[in-house]
Amino acid sequence: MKNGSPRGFTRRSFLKGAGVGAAALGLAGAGTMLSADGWLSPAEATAEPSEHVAYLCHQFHCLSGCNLKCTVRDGRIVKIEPNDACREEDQRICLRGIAEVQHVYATDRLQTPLKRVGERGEGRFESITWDEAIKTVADNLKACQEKYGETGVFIRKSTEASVANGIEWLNMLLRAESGGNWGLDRGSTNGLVPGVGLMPHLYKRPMTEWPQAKTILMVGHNLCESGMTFSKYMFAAQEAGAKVIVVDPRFSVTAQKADQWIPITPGTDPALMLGVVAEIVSNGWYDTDFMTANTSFPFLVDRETGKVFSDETAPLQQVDKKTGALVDVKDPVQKKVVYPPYVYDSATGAKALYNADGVSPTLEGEWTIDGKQVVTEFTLLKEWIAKEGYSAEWAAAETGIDADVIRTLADEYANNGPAYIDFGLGGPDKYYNADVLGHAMGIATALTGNYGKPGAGLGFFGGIEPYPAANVVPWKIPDEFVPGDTGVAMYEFPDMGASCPVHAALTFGDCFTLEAANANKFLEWVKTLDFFAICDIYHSSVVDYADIVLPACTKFECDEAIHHLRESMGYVSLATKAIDPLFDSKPDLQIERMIAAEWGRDIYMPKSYSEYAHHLLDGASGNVEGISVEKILANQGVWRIGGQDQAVPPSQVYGTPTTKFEVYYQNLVDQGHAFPVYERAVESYPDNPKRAQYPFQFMQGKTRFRIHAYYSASNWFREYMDPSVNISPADAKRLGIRTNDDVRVYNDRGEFVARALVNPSIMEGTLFMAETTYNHYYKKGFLQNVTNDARNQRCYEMKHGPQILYNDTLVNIEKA
Amino acid sequence: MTRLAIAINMHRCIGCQTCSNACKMENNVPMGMLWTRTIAENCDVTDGAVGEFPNLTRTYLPMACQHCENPACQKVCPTGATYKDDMGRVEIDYDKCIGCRMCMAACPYNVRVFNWNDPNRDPDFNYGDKDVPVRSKGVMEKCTLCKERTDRGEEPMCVVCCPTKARIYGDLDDPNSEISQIKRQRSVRILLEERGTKPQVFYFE
Ligand code: SF4
Ligand code: SF4
Repeated sequence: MKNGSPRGFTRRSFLKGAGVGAAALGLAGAGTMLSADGWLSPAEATAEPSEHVAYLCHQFHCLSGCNLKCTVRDGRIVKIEPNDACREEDQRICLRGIAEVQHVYATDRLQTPLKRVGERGEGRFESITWDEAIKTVADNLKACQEKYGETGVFIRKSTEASVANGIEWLNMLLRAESGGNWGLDRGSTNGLVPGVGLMPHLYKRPMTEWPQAKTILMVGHNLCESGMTFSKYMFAAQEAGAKVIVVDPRFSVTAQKADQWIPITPGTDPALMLGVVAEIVSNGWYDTDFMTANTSFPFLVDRETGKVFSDETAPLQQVDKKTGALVDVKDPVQKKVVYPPYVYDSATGAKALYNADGVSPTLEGEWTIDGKQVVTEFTLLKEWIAKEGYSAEWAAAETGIDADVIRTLADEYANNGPAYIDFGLGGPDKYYNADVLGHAMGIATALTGNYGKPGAGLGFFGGIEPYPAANVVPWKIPDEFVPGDTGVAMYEFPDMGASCPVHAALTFGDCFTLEAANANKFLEWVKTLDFFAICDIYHSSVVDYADIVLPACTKFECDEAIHHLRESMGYVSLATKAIDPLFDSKPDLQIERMIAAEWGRDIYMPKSYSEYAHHLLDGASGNVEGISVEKILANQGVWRIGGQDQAVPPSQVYGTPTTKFEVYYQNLVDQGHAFPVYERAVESYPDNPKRAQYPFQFMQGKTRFRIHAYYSASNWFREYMDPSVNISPADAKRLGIRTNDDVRVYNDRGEFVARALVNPSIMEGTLFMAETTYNHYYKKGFLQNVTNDARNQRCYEMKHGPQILYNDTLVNIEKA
Repeated sequence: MTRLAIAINMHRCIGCQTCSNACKMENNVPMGMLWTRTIAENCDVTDGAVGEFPNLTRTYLPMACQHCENPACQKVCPTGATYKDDMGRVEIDYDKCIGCRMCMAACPYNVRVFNWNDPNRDPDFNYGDKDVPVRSKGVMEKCTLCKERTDRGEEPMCVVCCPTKARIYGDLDDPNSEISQIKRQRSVRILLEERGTKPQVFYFE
């Protein structure tokens, strides 16, 4: 045979797939069904391969939403690359987009509807027809609704980059409970909402302004791995002269690329930021003009009650943007009316409303007014720092960072601006004290004025940019259909006993092990459900617990020529079909329609992706004027939303009731947290007696090889990565652990076995593991078995409620 | 003349392996083989580090055929299968390759991969560019500088896909090309310069 033969269809593996049609699937046993070998659809045996190109917007849980171009040859996906109809700047891709060439066909694909035949968790199934599967799901959900009401049913699409193309129909149409607060990625955000308004992690200015900064402080954010496609802006900033400083307990890729890496004792980030705040204040490095004009620092507080001294005769009002009418302002967390605060007007020597014309607020001082002892928030801040004893030295003792390093950090942040604080949504966000960190970062920002202008800011950067929303025509369903809301968060279900509102569940993707900690406990609760069905693409960690399994197809597969329409990162993107659904899988829209039809409610949904796209685009206007299905298809499935090219003007209007940067949280006065008060991690604090048994701090974080657990099944990635625990050389030596040894990681909650990697990047006393991998790739257990499910009660007073404390976890490790 | 090459910005390289996977896809590279690998220099685990915590360094080094001006592999190839083409690329004529693996032993950069068995592809069909020839058992392969793409005037796939734009592709014989300017102006690292192989691929800070 000629070595360099042209491509043909002579290979044995091709023949294996031939002749297997969907009709044969129902006969297959569960064992063979879990392997994709031999199930690939046969190609046309033509001499000339036929190619076509499809377009799609890839994932959204990586926060990159890359628009991709996919070449299909003879019915198989062969090539994936950036969509070159986007601006060059926006042509993005990463290894996960590329590796879909294999991952779409991975052996973990769920192939047919399945019915459980063994015990829950055992993973024994037999294949059934779609009709039987849908009927079983509907019968069971209806039985549950009858017995417990509509909110007895739980329906949610998970964070897994999966079937969820962005819209959740069924929780609305069936008025199902959808599990309230996520408990994920909102730890620091909780502590910032009262300061700057809703969604404070989403900064309102673009990352393209990073090169205008002089100092960029990244707190627990591994941008160069978790936000690969946006790390180019960090490099551009460095090349323009910015100093990038990374705080991370681990020598992450971003720490490696930084101009300065500050290793920190895990879970002590709030102490570092409080040290920075204290140094800014004690050295006078704050910006009094900014503080006076744009923050609540001059507001007066009643010493006795701790409440903001306000004019209680008339609530604060704002012009409603939609109606133009004056309406009462509500605070973003409690939704209560707010009264306008007083300041001390230096011109008149008397109290004045903070927003009175010509008022000249005083930043520091204490007065007796109306028989009350009142003091400015800034004076209170100074007292509070003195009382708590915060300083660089204090923070050094807690964080393990040199006091001089902390002082220099404060100096550079305050005096070498403009400056950013960029915080990660993992790392420090997943400890008990994350809200304290958020609040402290807010105060550092309010003191220095690093907000609302090019080259300065505070938030999470790396994917979620302030893109305009497209003026498309939204799909409406009747108002009567809204998700049920019992006010309970999903992560609380297992602790509720008989009072748990939920008795049956239908999840799209794995919610139960990706959005909760302490998996053993959570899965015990799942076992008690009257019914549990999952719709998923892959055999994810929770599939074995389901009664019915519905196989969805990937974003590359569709049963019609055009696929999902969505907005992504400044574009409207209309996906086209790359290939037919593999095996007996279906697009999630069709699966949701089939289920909704059992209630006669499919009539409220689009019949097809095509109908949906036409509805949204026919009649679209404004910033997408002129768009149509035909035109977007002619432009490779993408359409850039208009109005993005003007520079964002600087702004000092905050999303708070007063529109100022508020630093003092009066709703937390009773809890002693009006200003951020340091507290330690709840489990992994240094002198926890549990450390005698479980001396290691266990951390997890993002890896380039996953989006949550998605891509666990990628055989291309399995050549690089399997479930493995990174341990420091010193600890490994002491325990006789070597790279590639199997190790057992355990605590009271559970255990797992993975491979050890002895890695100098890891701090002694800590372990690091990439989040996460389907449980069947482990020798035993999986990482969520050990994670901490404690909750911070204080956070019930906050916008996003208690967060899941994945990193606030102690374990022990030994050779397996 | 033309001397095509790639320059790699070592500060911008985040070790993400996108280039490795893009190359694998584009060139139909089988399982267990890669034409370009991104290693963390002197580390024995993925994303390891050199030194003792916290005094650590890590250098990612994407490693593929260096397209040498004086290729050690070509010198030892008994059949002329490995050759330097008129675009300055080191290429393999798969039909002439007899699988003796002399080139593999001679390459100081260890970037050649050999089909010891029938190639095992996952997914089990030919993916990538339809013009890329399929290699069979007993044949050597390595980075071709995306010959089929660069012949068409396109950039190599690793260059297109690199998310940080760490890879610069161009003609070293064109003094105005970006890559020539970088070579003149930046501090450049040539791998194993002492071997006299004169790599065209180079690294810069
Ligand atoms: S997974 Fe990678 S290619 Fe896909 S959208 Fe995210 S960053 Fe882009
Ligand atoms: S794709 Fe670019 S950044 Fe990623 S490893 Fe390759 S050269 Fe480095």
